[in-house]
Amino acid sequence: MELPIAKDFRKFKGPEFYEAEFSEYFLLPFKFHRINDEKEVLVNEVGDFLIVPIGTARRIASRDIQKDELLYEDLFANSFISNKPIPDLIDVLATRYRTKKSFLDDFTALHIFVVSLRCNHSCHYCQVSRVSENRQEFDISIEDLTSGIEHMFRSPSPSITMEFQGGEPLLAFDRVKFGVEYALKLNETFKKDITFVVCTNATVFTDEILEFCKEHQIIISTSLDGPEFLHNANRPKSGAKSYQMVIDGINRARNQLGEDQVSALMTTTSLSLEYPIEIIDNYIENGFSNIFLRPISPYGFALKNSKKNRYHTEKYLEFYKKGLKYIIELNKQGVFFVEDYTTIILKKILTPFPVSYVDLQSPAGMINNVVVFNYDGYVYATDESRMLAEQGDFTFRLGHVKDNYRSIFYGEKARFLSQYWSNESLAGCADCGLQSYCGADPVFHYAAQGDFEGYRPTSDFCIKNMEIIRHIFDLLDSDGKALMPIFNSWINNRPRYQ
Amino acid sequence: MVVDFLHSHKAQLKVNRELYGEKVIHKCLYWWAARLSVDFDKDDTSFVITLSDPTESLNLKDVIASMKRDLIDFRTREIITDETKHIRAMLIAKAFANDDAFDENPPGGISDPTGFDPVKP
Repeated sequence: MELPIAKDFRKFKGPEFYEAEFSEYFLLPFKFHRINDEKEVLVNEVGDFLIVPIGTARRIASRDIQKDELLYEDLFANSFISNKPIPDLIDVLATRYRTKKSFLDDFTALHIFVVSLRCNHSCHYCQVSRVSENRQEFDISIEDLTSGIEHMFRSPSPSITMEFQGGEPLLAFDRVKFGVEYALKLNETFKKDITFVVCTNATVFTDEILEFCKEHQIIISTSLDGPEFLHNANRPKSGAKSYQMVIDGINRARNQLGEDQVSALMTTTSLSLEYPIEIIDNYIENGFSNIFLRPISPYGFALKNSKKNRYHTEKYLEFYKKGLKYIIELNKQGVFFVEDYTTIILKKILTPFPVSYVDLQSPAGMINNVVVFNYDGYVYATDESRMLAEQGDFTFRLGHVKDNYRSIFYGEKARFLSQYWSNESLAGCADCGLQSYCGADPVFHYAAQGDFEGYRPTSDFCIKNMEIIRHIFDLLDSDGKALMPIFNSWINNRPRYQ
Repeated sequence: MVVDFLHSHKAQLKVNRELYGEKVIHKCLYWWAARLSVDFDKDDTSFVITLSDPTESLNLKDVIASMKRDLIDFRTREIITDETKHIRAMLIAKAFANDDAFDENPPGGISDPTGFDPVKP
């Protein structure tokens, strides 16, 4: 019979150990999922996996695995079966389970401040609302910003990220400046580890702004959609071509702040779907060593411009796979270049640690890891929640910055949402073999299907993630030996030969 | 699973109630209900499933073959879930316990050949 992928750590006991007096083995919790016509993946409660021939899960459940099979040893070593009803290593498994869920330990870390809705671009896929540059009534008030920052310091997390978003947050640079300075002042007392991030289109940098960013080690996160024709089509700016301004801005920021302080995100529009290779090449030409092949989200202006922004998830998956294949080929040729979404999932599959990516967690990242202070003083569960609010839907509004911390973060709304934020208890997810690597997203399902729980067979979230995770396992199965060094280099964010 | 009738866009299946539980049938049909119109009933010995394809785009013969496979998979999942529910509950209780109340020492002893006492505080 065909053997599963050999695991390096299957070496603990000699053969005599397996010849104990029991006649049968005991099952430990695990799930399974078909990854191609011949193989299925078994995944245990702590995310360890084995790729095995189809039918193996049924054989295990039917007590059909013989002790002299190598598979028996793999199943035993990887805690899929046990020789006792309660395995000796249950405390080790419990510790590993706790480690996988340790992103819950410190509660909210990412605090997003929407300092202004003003923007100098008019992107058709904009997932939030925006207003023209001169409408300063859409800037957050200093009073609300102050209250939001004080809430941020009430978080039990020793490490916090303060992220400034918009609109274009640097059009309200006075708010960014005040926010950073006030947070640093409070931190003299709280002594948390703070990271500052500004999400900007990189077209409004001034010497003053960059000097301030340098002084406070602020990370710049910008948007680059690929080649000039594509970027300009996706991100129109009146009176100027956005692409050259963004590239100039990126270079200017890199020169002043350092290469590693500047990152870029792309958004996949209908037009982008035709150009995965060109987009990746453009990122490499512009000195990036990573890309996030990110689909469009079903919020805000993205919904209004459905012709440009609505596409079937299958089309996106083709785009993703084509891009990933190209990136893998580049890596095989010695170019270190990372696809970020794949890396997030690989970290979940191949390491014992949680990944701080709020869109793919269970319990969901909302409130537990991220919260949004909007320009108007209201507090939302996620970035996407305030996007819904701009469409007039305040379902995910947790309260106002003037409310007390407990009522915002542990209030009735938070408790209501908690019913839908664990994929372990959602229909369709509860039995899914890929559950350990996936997450729950009640905001997405509410926005897309009008249902907090969501209906998995037609959920774009489910179709996308299930297929991407399956595809990664399929790659590990078909080309694991060649791919593992590459994937490990992505996980460690370090070229293979350094 | 017995196929009662199979027309081009409609089929009726009978599933032995001694072999498969209602929960298994529901979980299986959950994934098909997006593409098919599904009616579900039961008689003394079987679950009776009527499938119709409103889009007239599916090959119901293939659907039935896949459904048979899914039934076996969901039955396997049910066996694993039922047999492991207590150990899973114990695992999660231990994982999230706020103190050491659920901790147990692993069997066997530990020692170090160089004379260092690894258990000495």
